[in-house]
Amino acid sequence: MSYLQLDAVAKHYGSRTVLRDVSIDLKAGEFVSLLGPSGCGKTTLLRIVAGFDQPDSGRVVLEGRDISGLAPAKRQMGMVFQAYSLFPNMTAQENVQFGLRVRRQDATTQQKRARELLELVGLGEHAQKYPHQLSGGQQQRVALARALAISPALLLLDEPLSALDAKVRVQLRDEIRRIQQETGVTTLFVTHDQEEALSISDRVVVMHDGVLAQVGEPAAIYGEPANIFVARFVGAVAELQGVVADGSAGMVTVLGRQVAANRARGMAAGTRVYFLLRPETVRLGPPDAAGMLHGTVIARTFYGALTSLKVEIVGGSDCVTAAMASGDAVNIAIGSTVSINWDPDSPRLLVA
Amino acid sequence: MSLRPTRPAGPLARSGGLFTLVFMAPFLLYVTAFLILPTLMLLATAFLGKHGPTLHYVAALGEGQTVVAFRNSIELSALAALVGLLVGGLAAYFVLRPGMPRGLRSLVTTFGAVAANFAGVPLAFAFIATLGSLGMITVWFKDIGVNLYGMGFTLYSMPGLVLVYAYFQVPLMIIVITPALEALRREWREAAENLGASTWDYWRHVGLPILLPSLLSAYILLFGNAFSAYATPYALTSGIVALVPVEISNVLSGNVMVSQQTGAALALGMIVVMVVVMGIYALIARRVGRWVKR
Amino acid sequence: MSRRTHNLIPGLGLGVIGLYFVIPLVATGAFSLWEGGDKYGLAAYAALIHQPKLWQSLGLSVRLAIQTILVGLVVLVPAVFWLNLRVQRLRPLFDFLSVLPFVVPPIALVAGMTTLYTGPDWFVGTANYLVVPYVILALPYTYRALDVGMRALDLKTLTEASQSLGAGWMTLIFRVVVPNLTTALIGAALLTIAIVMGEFTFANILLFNTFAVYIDYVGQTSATQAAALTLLSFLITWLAMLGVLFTGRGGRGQVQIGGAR
Repeated sequence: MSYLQLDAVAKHYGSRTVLRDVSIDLKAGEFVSLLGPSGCGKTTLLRIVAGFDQPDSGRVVLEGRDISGLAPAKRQMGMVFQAYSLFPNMTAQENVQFGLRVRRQDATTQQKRARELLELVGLGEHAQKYPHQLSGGQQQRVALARALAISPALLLLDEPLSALDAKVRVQLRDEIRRIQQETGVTTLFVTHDQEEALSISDRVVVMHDGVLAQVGEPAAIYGEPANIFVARFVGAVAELQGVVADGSAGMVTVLGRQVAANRARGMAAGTRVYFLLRPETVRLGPPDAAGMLHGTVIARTFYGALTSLKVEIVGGSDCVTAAMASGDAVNIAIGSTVSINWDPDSPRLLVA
Repeated sequence: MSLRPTRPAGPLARSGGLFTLVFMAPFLLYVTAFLILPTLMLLATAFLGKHGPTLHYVAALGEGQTVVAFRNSIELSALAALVGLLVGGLAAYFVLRPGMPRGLRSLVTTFGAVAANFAGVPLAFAFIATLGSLGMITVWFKDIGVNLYGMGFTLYSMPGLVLVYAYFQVPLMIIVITPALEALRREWREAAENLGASTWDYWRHVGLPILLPSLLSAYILLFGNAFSAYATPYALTSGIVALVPVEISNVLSGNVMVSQQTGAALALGMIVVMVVVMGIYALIARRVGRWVKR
Repeated sequence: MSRRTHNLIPGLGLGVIGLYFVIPLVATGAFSLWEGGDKYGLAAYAALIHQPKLWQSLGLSVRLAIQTILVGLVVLVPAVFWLNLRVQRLRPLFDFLSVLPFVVPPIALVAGMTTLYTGPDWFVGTANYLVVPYVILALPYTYRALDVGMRALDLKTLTEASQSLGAGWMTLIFRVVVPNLTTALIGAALLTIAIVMGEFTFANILLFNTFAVYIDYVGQTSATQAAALTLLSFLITWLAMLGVLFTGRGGRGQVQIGGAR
């Protein structure tokens, strides 16, 4: 049985539809990300779960109990906001104690629990500091400890990393995952950053225009995008127009050439498809080698260990990007002609 | 930046004392001559009798009518400030609530600015025309059988003064507290709710403590505003309620036969009250605002 | 819970507070039209228009307001300019001086001034003398408006830019700084107008017949005419404040209090 169940949740603001009948199930202890561009409805959905917004229709069911009409204060959910949500007039410790204080727990319990949680987020020594004396990353750790202090039925994270520096963001991201696994708290995490969502979650829910675009494990979202929106939004991808040439042999016509793609097997010849290639599956070779496609290198971006090369395909203005070890990439000059190859299992095909 | 000369050219580069003097002197001289010296003059006058230094005039502040005037002034100001604080604070809070009509905000801002500046003689007359013994409302109430003045109400009393002072105190409060209310982040409210706090819990532990420094300084501002009010009580009560500013003006206009030194001592007393009030404020502000970023 | 019912109490509260502010104005308006008994009309206004003293006092107050603005700017602009450009360390002094008029009430200041300055007659004997304390009354607001305006200007960059083009400091202040401060200056000026037009303390004690003193004088003889003047005064304040809000849209919330109470 699912732990948290969102059942056909819909929300409109005036004539604008923010959510159309969204249904998601979370298992106990699961870490699920809501991923999508801004305006896709992910934050509204989180706020509906927290009780700050009311759905126009649909239900929020927690452990079999319909909580749709319950006030936020009664839901026992810990929420971490984007930024600046700590009470500025309280020390880190007092912030963490707040939920227990309004539950009228005795002072010793409060302090012990707060101490524990500050240790858990690695801020044991900063308990007596006020929020303005803490860095952005530290503030978000305190916010996390504060949300966990009430032993929430559900941990809600509303883009908690978006206001942080890149380096701190990665650190805290890993830490959130570690803490979530240690505490086993069921977590709903909202983000617009696909890398963040893929790296941290058990499952990812990709949202687009108020509907679910795809729900699945990170690897499946990345490897088997269900539609062109997910393919474009998650990870980099080269997108070519193709027509299935031979369904039994797994051949697709791309830019006038027949190329191999095993996923075409079983598709009717003549089906128009998006032919998708992830950069890491693209192999570049010398121009004379037998290639599926040929092209000219037009740009190079150095990322340290990896270098990506942008290749314009002969016979069109379409490009593919190849990611390769930087050591190999130095041998390929900009302007040189290359052959483009891939494993026939690599290309994803989506019916256009 | 290598293009930038190490020593900028032009006369402004020589930022020595001469230029500071030229730019600052008019202002500093003006303030010294027409604000600081007159204040010091009060000090000197209040402590100097015909025959050298004396405590006579300052000691006289503790006598009879003067004590009453100071007590009245302080009570009136404290009360008028409290009324302004509560009513203005609530009004500002109401106006800022989500779901309030669009134009309300700018209407209140504009009207507030006008009303905060609409004081003195015209304000007194407006209230006399409204609630004076022949005022429109008084007469209207009488017509429907309610005799306000018969019931003990009079505009020319402490409660009457508070009622009139509220006309400039409330809008001033709205003007000064609105930014502080706007600075209360929605996240704080939601985080509190989310952690199980009731509305009362939120205000008790989060909202009010965060507002406290602003409320304090607003109270001081309102107190000083009421304390130094002269034209309004002058035109309204013409001495029925003894207030320090009116007493001083009586001395200065020669309406009462007392020495100039007494007037100086009264004025000095007002300044002392303000300094003490500001001092208390500074002490409390430090305590309640220890979490404030400095 | 819908928003409508949620805002019932706030709406009612604001309504009551609004009534408190509107009723005196309406009552004053009605009172100014009262001609005794059941008769209503414009008699009070007609009588006022033919009072030369009204126009004299109004003219005097307007003149004083303009003079106060000019003197205040001449004294403050260079100082605040230099403060922002070079001598930031003097800021605490300026902050202190700008709250002083708040600590020293006008009535106390006038007491001090009358004991300190008893002559010469050309100085204290004409109504122009009022400009002296009025500049002090307007000081906190003028200072604030100028300071906020100049801080927003990034004076350092501006001066460096104009110097690199070879401008002297006179050119700099009057051709660069002042034009860029227009909004702040207009705001300060309008606030000064509101303060001076309503100022009563100094004028009454020093015995000059300004607009506010004239209203008080009329009030002792004709209550209905006083009511009419009260409305006129409210109108002037309203116009000045509308001007402040209108010009200050960039940096809102600068409207403060005047010094007429």
